[in-house]
Amino acid sequence: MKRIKLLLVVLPLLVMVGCAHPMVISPRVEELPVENKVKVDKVVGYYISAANLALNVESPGGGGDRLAYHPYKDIEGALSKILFNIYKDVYKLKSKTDPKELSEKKVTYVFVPKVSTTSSSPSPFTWPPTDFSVTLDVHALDSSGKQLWSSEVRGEGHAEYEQFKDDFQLAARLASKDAFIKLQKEIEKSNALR
Amino acid sequence: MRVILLLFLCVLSLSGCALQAEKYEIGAENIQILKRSLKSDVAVGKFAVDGKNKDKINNLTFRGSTFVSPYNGSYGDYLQAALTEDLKQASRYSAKSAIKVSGVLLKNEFDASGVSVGTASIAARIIVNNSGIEKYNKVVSYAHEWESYFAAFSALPAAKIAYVDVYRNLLKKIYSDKDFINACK
Repeated sequence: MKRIKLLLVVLPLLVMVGCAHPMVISPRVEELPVENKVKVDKVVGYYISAANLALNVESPGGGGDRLAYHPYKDIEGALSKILFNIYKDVYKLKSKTDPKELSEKKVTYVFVPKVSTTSSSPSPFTWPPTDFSVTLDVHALDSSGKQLWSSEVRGEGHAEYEQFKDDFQLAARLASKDAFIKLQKEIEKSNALR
Repeated sequence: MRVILLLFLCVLSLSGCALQAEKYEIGAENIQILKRSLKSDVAVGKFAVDGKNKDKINNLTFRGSTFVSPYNGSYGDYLQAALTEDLKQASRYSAKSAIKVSGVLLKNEFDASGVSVGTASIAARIIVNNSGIEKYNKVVSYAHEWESYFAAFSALPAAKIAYVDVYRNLLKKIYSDKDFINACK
């Protein structure tokens, strides 16, 4: 009985402390567009540094709590997916400028993303974000490292309690889905990336 | 609302209720390997759970609460769904293919009780049949660690995210096995 009383005292105290809630911000890949029937006949790669893949970011949630996630690790699947939608083959690269790797894999363009996020919730009671944004600042380089193209897209997601109660990361998933749909369109309309 | 959440958390910690594992999400590298290596479409058969260890494999716990598979409560079904999703996203799935991958989940250990580290260990027998002839039969295993927390409301989502990584990495090992790829020709 003493243990139960102790738990009842300790647990609410722990809840009150502004803690970090691990979550993912990846979109559901099956909700992204399907592969184009006619693809650009080129092999492309993307480069995300090991430091960025391991990067853990914290941003505000509701009730004074924080959200914790790995933005680059979380968006990698979606980035690969939209590149496969457009191009005939896609590689994850160990370096963005290693001529040997680029030559062996016959990579024509190297995409390098920079991810930034914002989050918020007006709720004093629940930690999941009601509003989330994902900004993708993507540069494309040729095999010599020269920048051919760049674009910045911002995706936004909004989810109220009734919507996120089954998926606490819903606003983030919607934001990254929105960002990647916009990014695919930007790449598709670029003549430099044909 | 906060009061409700507090009560909910208290009850949750005391009652041992059921928590659901996160659904599988594909890994970028898995899709790249499959697209590049696998030249034929593949069907996915049943992934059973080892009969001797069925209870242990399917009845995972998270700090006293059951940690249930979102796929019919079976972690064999979880592996089956994960493989199917990878193949679909790689455009290498056909339910009608003569090449069929099936298997048996032999081990599924999951320990999120640690305040700083969580661990999981999984093993499965993977079988590839082509027109009814067995082409591949191997046990593949994978062990995983992740950063855990003292507080359950941080430790639970961390464990859920990590558990998806366990399947992603197990499947990556399978797809990276040249014998598996050759058996799927």
